[in-house]
Amino acid sequence: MSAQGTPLQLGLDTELPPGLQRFLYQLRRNWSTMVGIAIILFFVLIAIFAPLLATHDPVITNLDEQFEPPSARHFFGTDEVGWDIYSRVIYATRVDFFIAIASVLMAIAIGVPLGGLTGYFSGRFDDILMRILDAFQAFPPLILAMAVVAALGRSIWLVIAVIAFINFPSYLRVVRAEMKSKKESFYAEAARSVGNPSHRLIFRHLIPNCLDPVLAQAPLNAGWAILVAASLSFIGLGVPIPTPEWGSMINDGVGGIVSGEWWISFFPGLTAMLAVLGFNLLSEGLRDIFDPKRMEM
Amino acid sequence: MIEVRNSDTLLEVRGLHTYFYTYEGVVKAVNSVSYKLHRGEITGLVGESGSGKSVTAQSIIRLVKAPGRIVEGEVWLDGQDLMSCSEAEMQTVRGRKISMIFQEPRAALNPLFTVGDQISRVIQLREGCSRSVAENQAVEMMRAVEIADPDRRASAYPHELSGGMCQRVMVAMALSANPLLLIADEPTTGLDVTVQAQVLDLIRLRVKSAGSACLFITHDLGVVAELCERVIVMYAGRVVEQGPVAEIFSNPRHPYTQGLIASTLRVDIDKPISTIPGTVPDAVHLPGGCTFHPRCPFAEELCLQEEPQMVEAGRDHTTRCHIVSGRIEREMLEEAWTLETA
Repeated sequence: MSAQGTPLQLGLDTELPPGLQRFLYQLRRNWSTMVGIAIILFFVLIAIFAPLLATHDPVITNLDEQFEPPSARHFFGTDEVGWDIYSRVIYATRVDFFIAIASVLMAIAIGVPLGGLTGYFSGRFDDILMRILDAFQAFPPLILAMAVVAALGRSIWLVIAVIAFINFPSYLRVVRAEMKSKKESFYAEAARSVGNPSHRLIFRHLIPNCLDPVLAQAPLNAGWAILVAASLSFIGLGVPIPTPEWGSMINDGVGGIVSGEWWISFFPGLTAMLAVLGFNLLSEGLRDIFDPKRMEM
Repeated sequence: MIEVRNSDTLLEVRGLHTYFYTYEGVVKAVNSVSYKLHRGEITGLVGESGSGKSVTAQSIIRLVKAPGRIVEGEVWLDGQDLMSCSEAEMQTVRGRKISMIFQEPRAALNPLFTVGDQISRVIQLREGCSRSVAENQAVEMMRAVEIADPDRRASAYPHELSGGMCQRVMVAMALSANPLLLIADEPTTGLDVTVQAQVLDLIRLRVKSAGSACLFITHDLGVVAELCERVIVMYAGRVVEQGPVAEIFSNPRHPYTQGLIASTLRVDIDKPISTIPGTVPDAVHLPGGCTFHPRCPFAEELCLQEEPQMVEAGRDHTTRCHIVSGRIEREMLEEAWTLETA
């Protein structure tokens, strides 16, 4: 919520809200966040301008140009059906970022309200829910994802849903933990004493105060989502062919690594690694910024 | 006792018991507490930490935290029995008929919303008016509690304001609901003395002009003397003495009240500051008989065995002491307190 009354101007002598000013100040002092943000922005721009950047259609095969090494015509070379790796890596950014962001948003949409409720009410409901989550999390997540996708069929939405399902317990746990302390706060008591019913107290007053760790965790999970999506595609269970996706592209080139066509796997692998690195750096930086021990600085 | 139905009575608490069921045992935080609050009057509720002052207030608005529970008692507010209200009805009582001001004003404001926002939400809740109308009223409320430059301050977050400023905001928020009853739980603790006086003036002014009642919880007898018409003294979950301020201060009858008054700093009289020996008893294992007997300089055999009943000690003045009731014949000398510590 920005400061009321003072309009947000974006001229040279801007007067930004103090909260944002401190955020930017912390950002400048934190190189890993800066690098992380730069990488993510770079990918977002690529995703947006993919049609302009790509030199070939990502899904039209060209059997005349199989296994071409990187060249001026095909920057990253071509694969066994003549797909241009460079163009496919560019378009795959759209798919992988969509999976990452959508799955994180979905995980937050499930985990945050549920964590808020269970943290607030505690008791029997909380006990049962947490034991169920323990059981879920004891199961290897990738195996779970594989089983679900193998059973229900390959689709991008299913991949998103599975990743969200694997990730939501971590949001639930951090929000629950925050809620347990925030519900005892004086402002919670004050809000109760002016007649706020529990649902308004939880959703309007308390949950917004529990979101700091969620913000720090979201990029980490986004990076992780890219890895899971790539892993699923790599074993042939992810996004269906011919949609370009980093994991399935790496899989396409596995045979080529032995026979010398290294570029088929190398470039999508490098790109995926860079994207995950970007998200991890961002998360690291945000955790520092939201760390209450550094708030005084 | 003959019950006098005073039309000026706004709140009547009868035989309130609030217990906490803990691992170590049952804590009788509020034990058979009865009192009345009158319109236009500020009543001080005093006692040491742990005497049950705050729990009494929480019990009135039925927000006692677990493992606490209201075991027994009636609370009548303006003819309405709060103990038999549904939770939904209670939510309309809180904030509209009863408002609270807390100690630690900065912690009692939500750090994520501007103070103007928080006040206007209370107004919206009460009147169901539009947001912009509520925001204008919020600024007016802030002006009324003498916050300088309220238009600008309304868009400030709690951490951008001083403690005294936050307490004014709390007062504005509590009063913007035009409550019948204002409960102030140590509202001036932690404030500068000058700011403290301003906040007290503000509360007094608003209570008098609105004709509402105020329950002012504090451990500061100086504040009570300055602000309140009546005073209730609590000790270990029980009301030990209550009556008009002038009467209690000039003629305290319960040894605990005497001790409290004797231990306040006086500039006008040259005497050493006395203290009440000992500490508040362990809440789980309260002493038998009169709970104050281990610390009472006048205690006798009867005080250990039998709990004293509430008796008349003067006009509109009641207390719980075997000496006052005449069961023990003994004089209470004021020197007892100074001697004890000398």
